[in-house]
This record gives sequence, structure tokens and C-alpha cells, in this order.
Amino acid sequence: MMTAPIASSSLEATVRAVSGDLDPGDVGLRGRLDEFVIASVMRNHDLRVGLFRFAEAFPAMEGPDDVMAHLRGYLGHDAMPWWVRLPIALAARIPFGSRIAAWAADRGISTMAKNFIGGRRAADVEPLVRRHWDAEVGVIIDALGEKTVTADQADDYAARILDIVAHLGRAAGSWPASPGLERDQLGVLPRVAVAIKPTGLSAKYQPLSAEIALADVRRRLDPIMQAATEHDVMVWFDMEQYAVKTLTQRLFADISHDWPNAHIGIVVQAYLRDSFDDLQRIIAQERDRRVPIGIRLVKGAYWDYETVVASAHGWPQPVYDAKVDTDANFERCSLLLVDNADVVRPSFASHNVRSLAHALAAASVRGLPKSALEIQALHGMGGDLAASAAKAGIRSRIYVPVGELVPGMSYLVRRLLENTSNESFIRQNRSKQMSRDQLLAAPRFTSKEDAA
Amino acid sequence: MTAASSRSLEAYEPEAMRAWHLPGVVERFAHEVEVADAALRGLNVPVTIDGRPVATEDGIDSFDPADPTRIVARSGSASAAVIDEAVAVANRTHRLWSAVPPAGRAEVLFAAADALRADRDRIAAIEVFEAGKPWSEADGDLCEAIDFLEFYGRAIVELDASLVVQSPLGEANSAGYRARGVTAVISPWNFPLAIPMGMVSAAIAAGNAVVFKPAEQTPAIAYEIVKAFEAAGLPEGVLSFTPGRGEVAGARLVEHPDVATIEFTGSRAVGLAINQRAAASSHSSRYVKRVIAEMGGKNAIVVDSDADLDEAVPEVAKAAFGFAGQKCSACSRLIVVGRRYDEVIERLAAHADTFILGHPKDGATSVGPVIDADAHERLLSVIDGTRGTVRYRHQRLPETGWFVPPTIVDGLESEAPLRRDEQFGPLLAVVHANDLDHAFELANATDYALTAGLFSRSPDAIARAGELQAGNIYVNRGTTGAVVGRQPFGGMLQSGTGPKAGTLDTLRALSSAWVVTENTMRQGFAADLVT
Repeated sequence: MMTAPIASSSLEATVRAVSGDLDPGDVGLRGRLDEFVIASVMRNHDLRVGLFRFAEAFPAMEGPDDVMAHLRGYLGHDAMPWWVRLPIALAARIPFGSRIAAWAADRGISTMAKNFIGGRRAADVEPLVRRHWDAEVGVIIDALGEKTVTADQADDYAARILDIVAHLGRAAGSWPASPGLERDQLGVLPRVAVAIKPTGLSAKYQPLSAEIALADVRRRLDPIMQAATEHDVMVWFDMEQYAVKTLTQRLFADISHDWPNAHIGIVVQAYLRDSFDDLQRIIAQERDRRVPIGIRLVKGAYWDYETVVASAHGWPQPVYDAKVDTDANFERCSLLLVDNADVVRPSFASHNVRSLAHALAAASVRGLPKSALEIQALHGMGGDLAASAAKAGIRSRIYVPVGELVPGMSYLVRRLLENTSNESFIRQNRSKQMSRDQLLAAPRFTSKEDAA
Repeated sequence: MTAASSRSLEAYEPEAMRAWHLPGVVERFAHEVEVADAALRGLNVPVTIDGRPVATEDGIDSFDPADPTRIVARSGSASAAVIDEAVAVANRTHRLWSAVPPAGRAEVLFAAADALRADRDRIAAIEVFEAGKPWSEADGDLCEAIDFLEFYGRAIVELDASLVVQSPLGEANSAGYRARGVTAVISPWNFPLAIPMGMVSAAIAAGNAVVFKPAEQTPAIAYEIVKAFEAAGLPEGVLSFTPGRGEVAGARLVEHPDVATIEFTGSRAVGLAINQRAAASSHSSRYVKRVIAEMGGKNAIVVDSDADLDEAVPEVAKAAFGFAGQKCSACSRLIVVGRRYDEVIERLAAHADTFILGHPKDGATSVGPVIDADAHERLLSVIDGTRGTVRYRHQRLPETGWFVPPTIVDGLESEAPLRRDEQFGPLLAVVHANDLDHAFELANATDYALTAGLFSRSPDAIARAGELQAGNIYVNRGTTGAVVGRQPFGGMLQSGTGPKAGTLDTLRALSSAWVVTENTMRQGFAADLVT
């Protein structure tokens, strides 16, 4: 679409104005305590790595003595602060010390996990979903699980998605009306949404076996699409590692074509250097679809992985090296989405207030109705942000992982790593390291080619 | 100096494998496979001596193991007399080539690397048909071949400086390496380009003339080594190519009095025989023959009780069944610690069941055939004859071709062939261990010591990984896929003589060190004291 560029002065003024809508305000004593603990952990790299690795391995440990051995290995050595080292040393000496330590570890990890995982299955998560609905916040349910390396695991993953679709789809019928969540400027929206990780639907999901992989996925996905259509549930296709990006985009295009009435959405990862081109292509491809597709713009959750894989193989880096480039690209993509809000449904998933405020401001400057955009945030991390946005009349959805604590651990750790990264607005805000001006400053590409 | 420093060992980087997910990569490779499919029928691969093809009475056919009705290549078959001719040429050119300074030899290696790079997918496509390699495996072999050229080219220039000598007052000492003598290279079919390229390029880098006898099953790929060096401008006669029968051409090479060094990769039985014959024939030679042999393994991976099965299962499966288990680094024994024994086996089996067995010309194929009819028959009889419990046997095999089902067996006695002998096929023996001590004891209960693996999330266990008896130990990854410059490769005990491939040590083994000491004091007058 040919539109005049937005003048940066009016945009920046609007960014400042709308950023207030996203401020979660005071998080209370408990929130401040959490912030303090997280800040202490974040300051010590060894401690952070030790804690995460311990928590990640915890589900596989065999009994208290094994837990104790891992605690000592990960957290009992000299690089640890005394207040971590000492209790472990003590527990190793006292009677029943191992049991106490194992109990404490279990409690700590379960408590943390409950913050981030909505429940074991669809039935458990229903009250949470309903509470959000009553607060005018929608949900996207994500089924956590092991890596799919077998056909049974793929079947199991599909069955869990189907359960979520059927259960919550049915339950949603009895909820009271919530006009802001059920309609946008382009039409009606489903009450419930589910996220799908395509790698979960086939153990053969890789580019060399593309045709077989897609057929294998479709065998499990088509019944899900059928149920989603019947129960009026939106299906989001999550983006995973770069090596399967093209495959997932192909899968999405096929599904869009074969299920023309389904509500579907795709994710674009702004940390990818080719994401802007992808976004342009996806919009061009899908602009005439009867039911406009959703596009969720994210920064991307696999930065470490992509960097390591590309570097180890001698491949070009698919991701931007610098965080600021990702941020700048996010905003460039946001503008493109805003300018195409008449043909696709943009949503923005980030916990960075500047990034979100920029998208909202651009829409406002363009004169789009508030309903044209959606904000998405993670359960246990962005709940406050989504709630304050919802109060300000911005359509918000929470992305809620559902699953067992044990297989959910690796997911949890990844979220924690993101949560405690120094890019987190909330942490930066409270640690008072940065002024509001710094936090809301416009990101600029580090090189001219990227800006072009 | 800028050019030299960019070609230093420090700046060496391995060749990038094909990134199948990037645009056009699959399509380009698929095109070369199609071309090879149409063209590879009875390709002529001549014995080549002094840059010229030599006609031989006999010939050897190579087959597509996934479709044995296809003869891929017809190679010459060197007789003892042809070998004698090749060694005579090598003996003559050896003097000229060894006089070329290391930097000049290195240039030839770099040019050969460029030649391979320019033709990568075409050569990899030959491997797909002649060695039965799936695309990624074939591509990996190409990369490794290029890596050896780039590595040894850099290493030879830095070799002399590694021999440090001191010169006190009144004495000037200098030292360096010179070529050892004509080198025989006897190579296997499983890495039909990379392994012989590693052996040939190291010998050539060190200044030796080479007589190269490739495996009978893969002459067409081996011939690409000759072509790459020809394109690189290697003087004629430095590299002779003598495909032939092991018992004829190989035997004569080993016993020839003018052969100084034998580089061999293959089975333990043949390696030990070569060692013996080389020693015996040294009596009638100017050389005390040196054998550098890499002879396989019975490699174990230990999966600790706390291992991440999301990682361990696919990695073990790849190490055990990738390229149908026909790698010397392949995992053939899995040792599972603790309570999750059955869970590990079941998930591994279910994962192996997602493998696609088929003709490797199809990019989706994850496991191809084994190399020939003999291997096929032998491996099937091992499976059928086992007294253990077959926990898994892949059922979806193509109707033609030498396919062996990926198979998982447990309940085996410690002396059972599946636990004791290298099978070189997609057969995995699984053993339960009570704890890590027990697991390491089981893992080390073999005469081989090539690779070993450990999957664990326990810092204590990981710190003990060095207790595994192997030349290459891998923690939280599979045992295959060593990369030149990152994992110098080679084993201990019956796995080989050493030195490891991809090291300065290999160049030293192919060289002789010299030291010159000059007394600089004349008639009580020390030149170096004069200021």
C-alpha cells in the first residue's frame, strides 16, 4: 500500500503519550520482592547459569541424594555467593539434609513453574481463562511438551491441542459477551485461540523431507483445523528455529488455502534479517483472504540458539547481532503492519513498552481505530502489562502455556532467561538504571544497509 | 604477510555444510543428483601413473548399493607389476617434490581445495550413488575433504617452527622436517573422499610422493582426488592412482621395499595384517616401514540417569544408525544408567521408526543401504543369529538394494558378537548399568578405544568423562561428525596406531626430523661474541 511515511516528531510525541497506557503501575510488595530476587540472580552470571541448569535437570533426578549431588555440582562451588553455597554445604552435613534440600528445590521450582504454566490440561486452565475473559483479556493456549522425536509424541501433541480446542471452544460458548475481544475493524473474532508448534506435529519436520513432513503434519493438523472451525477457535502457527521457517510458512500458506474460513495467524520474528521481506510477502499473499489472517510480530525467542548454530556451521547469521537492530526492525515491521491493517490483523507481542507504544502510536497517527491492533503478552510475565492495556481499551491477549510441570521445565527456563535478560522493561524500570526517556528512545539500526 | 596470516592454522575455518533450509540449496543439489542419475553408468576409472591412464587386464565394477543393477563405475585393477611401476615413478618424483618448499606444496593443497569447492555438489552426488550416502552425509564428506586440504596446507608451513632447538654460544643449531619417503595410501569406502584425501594430502604436504589404492567399492569418488590435484597443478608422478584388489595391489604396496610409510584406514584384521607384513618386509627395505593405521571401534554412549532424553535420543540414533552405522565413530553400544532403561529403549526405537529407508538419491532418505552384498548378508545373519532380545527392528525396507534394518538388541552376554565385535552396520546393543562407575566399566570393556559418549546433566559425571577409554570423547552430543581442526580424530588400543588425523603429529609421522649443529668457534675466536 502506498502511504506517506509518518513524521517522526508526531510519532514520537504519540509514543510518549500512549506508553502510559501500558505502565503496569505498582506491582505491590510481592512483586517488589520478586524483582529483588530476580535482580540478585541476574547480577551473578554463574549463579544464573547454575540455577537454570539445575532447574532444567531437576525433573530427571532420582531421589534426594541425586538432587543433593546436583545442587552441590551446580550451586555448591566457590563461584557461588555464600548465601547459596552455605545452606547447601549445611544440608550435606545434617541428618535428612538431602531430603530437606530436595523438598525445598521441589517447592521452589514448582512455585516458579506455577507462575508461568497455566495448568496441566485444558480443564485445569479453564478458570484462569475465564478470569482473564472477565477482565477483558483474551487467551492463546499453548501446549507444552517434550521435543517430538517419535510418531507417538506427535499424536499426543495433536491430541492435546484437540482437547484444548474442544474443551475451551465449548466452554467459551457460555461466556458473557465481551465486544472488545470478539470483534475488530475487519469483523468477528473467535473467543479462544490456540498456538501450534509445527515441529510438535511430526518427527520428520525438516527441509530435506519437506513433502513427507508436510503430509505427516497435515494428517494430524487437519482434524485440528476441522475442530477449530466447528468450535470457532483461532489457530496460531508459532515460528520456531530458522531452519524450519520456510517449511512453516509453506504449511501456513497451504492451510490458509485449504481452510479458507478458518481463523488463522502466523508469527514474524523481528530478530531475523529477512523478516521484513517475509512480512511483505505474507501480506501480499494473504491480503485477499476472505477471513483476514492474524500476524503476530515478535522479537524472537531463539537468539542464542540461532547464533550458535550459524556460527558453528559457518552459515550467515540469520539474526541481528545487536538487540537495537532487532528493535529497529520490529518498528519497521510494525509500520508495515499498521499500513496494512485493512487486509491483515496485526498483533504485537513484546514486553518492551517502547516497541508496543510505537506500534500503537503509529496506528493512532494513521487514524486507525483502537480495535485494529492487538497486544499479546506471556502468562506470568506480561499479565500486568496486558491488564493495563486492556483497561485502556487496547485488545489484549495472554499466551498461556499448558502442560505438565516436568516436560514444561525447558520451556520455563527459556522464559526465565528472557525474563531476566537486561532488556526487560519492567526490570530496567524498577532498577532505576534508565530514565523514562532512555527507555522510550527510538531504536536506530546500527548499519545503513539494514535501515534501507 | 597478510596472505600468509589469513592462511595460518589459527585462521583456519572448516568448510560450511550445505544449509538445506536456505533458498535454492536443495534445488541445486537435486539437480546434480539428477545429472548423476542419468550419467553414472559404467564410468571409466583408469589406473593413473605419472599423469597417464594405464590399461590393466582386469577390472573392478562398483555398484549402486541401493540399486545393484546399476554399475556405477568400471575401474582398472592394478597387478603387482603395475604397483611396481607406480612405486618406481613415485620413488623418482619423491626427490623433486620433497625439494619444493612447504609453502609451495601448501599452494597446491589450497588449489585442490578450490577445485573441490567449485564442484562440490557434483562430486557429492557421485557419493550418493556409489557409496549409498544420504545427501547430508555426502555433503559432509566433501566438506571434510576440503578441510583436510586447508588444514594440512596451513599446518605444513608451521611444522618446522614447532621443532624448537636452542643454540648456546659457540654453537648454531637448526632443525626441521623432511619428507620420509614414498607413501602408500590404502583407503576405505565409508568416507570415500574425506579419509583418502586426509591421508593423501598429509603425505603430499609433507613432501612425499604417494601411491593411492582406494577401496574397491568406491573408485569413482576416489578418482576425484586425482582430478582435484591435477587441476591444482600437482606435478605428474607425485600422486599415482592404483585401484585394485586388496590382496593383490594392497599386498604388493605394503611389501614393496621402496615404500617408506603406509597410511591405512579400515578394519582391525587388515590393519594388523598390514602392520605385520610391513614390519617383516622392512628386512629387505632401506626403511623401517611405518604404519599409520586407523582401525575402527566398538563405541559406547553412556546415557546417565539424569540425561536430557530430548537431546540424547536423536543424537544416539544418529550416531548408531546414520549412514547405516557404517562409520568407525558410530555408536554400537548404548549403556543406560538407572531407572529409565526401558523408556530410553522405547523412545529410541520409536524415533528410529520415523526414519525413512530408501534410495539416497531421494533427499528425504535418512538411512540408506549398506555398502555391498557381503555386508548385507553378514549383518542380516548377525541379527538373525543373536541370542539377545531384539527390542526393535525397522520394518519398512525398500524391496531392492542392500538394506539392513536399524535394529536394537539387549539381553546380550558380554562376549556376544553384538557387544564385542565391530559390526559396521545399523545394529545397536543396549546394556543396563546400575550407576556411573558400572557404566564406565562396561563402556571400557573392549579392546577398541576410538570414540565414546556421555549424556548427563550432572557436573560430577561430566567431570569424569575423561575416564572413558577413547581417543575422542563426546559429552552431550553424538559420537560421529568430527570436524577437522575441532576434533582431531583417532583412537587408542586396537583402534589404531595414531597419530590423530588433522594434527601436526600426522605430518611429523610422515616426515623425518633433521638437526644440523655447527660449531661456530674457530681457533678460540667466537664470531658471535664480537660486537
